[in-house]
Amino acid sequence: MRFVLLVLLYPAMILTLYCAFIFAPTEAVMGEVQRIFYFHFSVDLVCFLAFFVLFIFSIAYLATGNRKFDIWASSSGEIGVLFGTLAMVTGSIWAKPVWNTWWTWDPRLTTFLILWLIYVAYLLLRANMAESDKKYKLSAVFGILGFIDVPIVWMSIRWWRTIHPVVITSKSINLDPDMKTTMFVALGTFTLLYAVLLNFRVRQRKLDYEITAKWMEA
Amino acid sequence: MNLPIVRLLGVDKVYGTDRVLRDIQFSLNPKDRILIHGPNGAGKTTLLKIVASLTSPTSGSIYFYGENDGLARYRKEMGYLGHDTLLYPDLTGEENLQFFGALRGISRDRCDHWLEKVGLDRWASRRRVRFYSAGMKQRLAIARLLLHDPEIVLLDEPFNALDGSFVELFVHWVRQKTVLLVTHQLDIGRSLATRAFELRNGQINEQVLSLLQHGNGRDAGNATGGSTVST
Amino acid sequence: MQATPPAAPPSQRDMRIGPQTAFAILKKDLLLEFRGKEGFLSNLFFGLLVLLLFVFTFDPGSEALRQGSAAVFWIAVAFAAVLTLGRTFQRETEDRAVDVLSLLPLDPAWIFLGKLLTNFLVILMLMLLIFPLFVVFFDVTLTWRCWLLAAICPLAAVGLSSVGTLFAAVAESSRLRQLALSIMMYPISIPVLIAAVQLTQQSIKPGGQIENWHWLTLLFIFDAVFLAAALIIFDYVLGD
Repeated sequence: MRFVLLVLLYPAMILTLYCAFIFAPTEAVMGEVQRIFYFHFSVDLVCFLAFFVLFIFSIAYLATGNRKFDIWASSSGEIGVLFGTLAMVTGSIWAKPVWNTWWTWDPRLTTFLILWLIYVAYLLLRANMAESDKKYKLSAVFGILGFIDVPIVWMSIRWWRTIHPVVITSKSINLDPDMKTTMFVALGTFTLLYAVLLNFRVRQRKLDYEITAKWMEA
Repeated sequence: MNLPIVRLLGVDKVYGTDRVLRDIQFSLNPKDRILIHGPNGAGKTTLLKIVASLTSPTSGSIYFYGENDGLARYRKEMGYLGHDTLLYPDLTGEENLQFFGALRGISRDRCDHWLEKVGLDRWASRRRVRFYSAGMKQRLAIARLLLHDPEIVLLDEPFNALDGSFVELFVHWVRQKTVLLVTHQLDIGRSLATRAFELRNGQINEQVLSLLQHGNGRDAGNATGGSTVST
Repeated sequence: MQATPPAAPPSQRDMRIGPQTAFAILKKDLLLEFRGKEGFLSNLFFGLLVLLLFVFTFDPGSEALRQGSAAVFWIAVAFAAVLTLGRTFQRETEDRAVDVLSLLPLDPAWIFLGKLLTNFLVILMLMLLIFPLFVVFFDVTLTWRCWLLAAICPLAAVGLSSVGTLFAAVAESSRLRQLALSIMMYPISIPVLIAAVQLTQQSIKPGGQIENWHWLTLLFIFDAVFLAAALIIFDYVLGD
């Protein structure tokens, strides 16, 4: 399974690079820098996907107590934080020339930042607990609550930011059909990348678990 | 009723990478008074915690009264005296006991009665537990243990820090109950117990009680090494 | 073998034992909170310090400080509250008294409820005592609109205490302890802080109307969601 995904990933990556840098036309207003948008948009959405997967597997872990689900949940969390960080970095690179600022407190960015903080907290929490069933339970609890919080955060930030004048609004980009194609290619590729990373990470953690178990038997 | 109160089947307990208990088969029957001893780190406290339903086994099963929902009944009838005192250092002895009494709907009179019984006078019971001597703390812990008159008592090293006459009194109090006792003080343990087990390297073996030697657990284990009965 | 018959019929006793336990825990924890050396007064003092740090790092009496004063009040409350919350289960684990609690024949949600009530009351008291200091040091003009605070403070206290009590239990298992609680609690409770600051600002600013009632709705939603979630999920957090 994971090798099939891996084999698919290589051509998909090359195709994405081709689409983003050659196939898609240069944006009239923003120029070449707009091309980073394809990567930014993809990692951003996949980051949400990763946290959603974490949420689902956390529930599954609490319901069944099966260690496997904890491995899936936390691996997805790791990749989610990685993609979230990439999304903020690519976003900043894009925003600086276009909006003339690295960061703006617009509702979407702010919510995303809080989300990122919550899941970094999730990883920190896990990193500082002794290996036991309790650790898996507690991190599942936090994973679930963190996700429940997202809509409330979104609501509050939107109200909060509409009270104050928003200096910069994110204009919707008028997308050329080729740009749209590129967007979807990139999104597909990064979803695939997520699947590959998740599968390999889970595989690695399971092996680690088995080795520890074997070592304990001896 | 012949059903065992607690029954452990193939219980394993793993902490991180340590396998503390291996494939434990064990039953606690009504009116049993069982002594468990063994070297430090053999898993005695862990076994007691599992029997107390404080922690669950990593694998294997545990039954209370042979039922799946016997746990609530078991917890009503059981008293647990832990390795720590299970008290609040910043409350007085009296406040401690009244709090634990309130949790089980026990009257203040009964709490006062028990304070007296374990020999904590008015003055002592109104001091904070933080300033108690080890022996006083243990006496208060015993009052806490027996407050709700449990049928079953689980004891982890209960005789530490107690003087001889109080040990006698305590043994007298629990003699009519079902007892699971973990201790190194085998001479006292032997006077109370009806059966004895040794726990070594996470495995449990029944021993002939009368062959237990005086002294600490390690000596007894060596001396009776040839005569252990496998369960 | 038979247990000695309980004083009241078992079913009746079982019904009462839950609320009784919650109340006993509330009583005991309040006693400890106001008795222990590292208790309530230290937290209050810490809250005051945070309040004053803002005065010193801004220019006293400056317009920026005046405009942000509601935020300063809530930051002081949030900091002091985390210290209170951190002790919720520490006092149970010091001598493992928590073992007695987890061996009670009842739904652990009652234990959680007792703890939550304690934290709610203590956080509310922190707010009540920090507020006069805030009024004095930030020269707040009190108008009739202050009554709004009587709604904001309890609502915010419910939110902070339900999230905080649950995470305090989680933090007990972490090597980071108090820090773990802050790391988990602050990002999640950002909506409470935003809503509380917005409402407080409106209730202390001279002139103008109270608008944006939806902040109260938001507090309600947050409280309802996390109170329910905490009560459901607490089972998994207690014990081992």
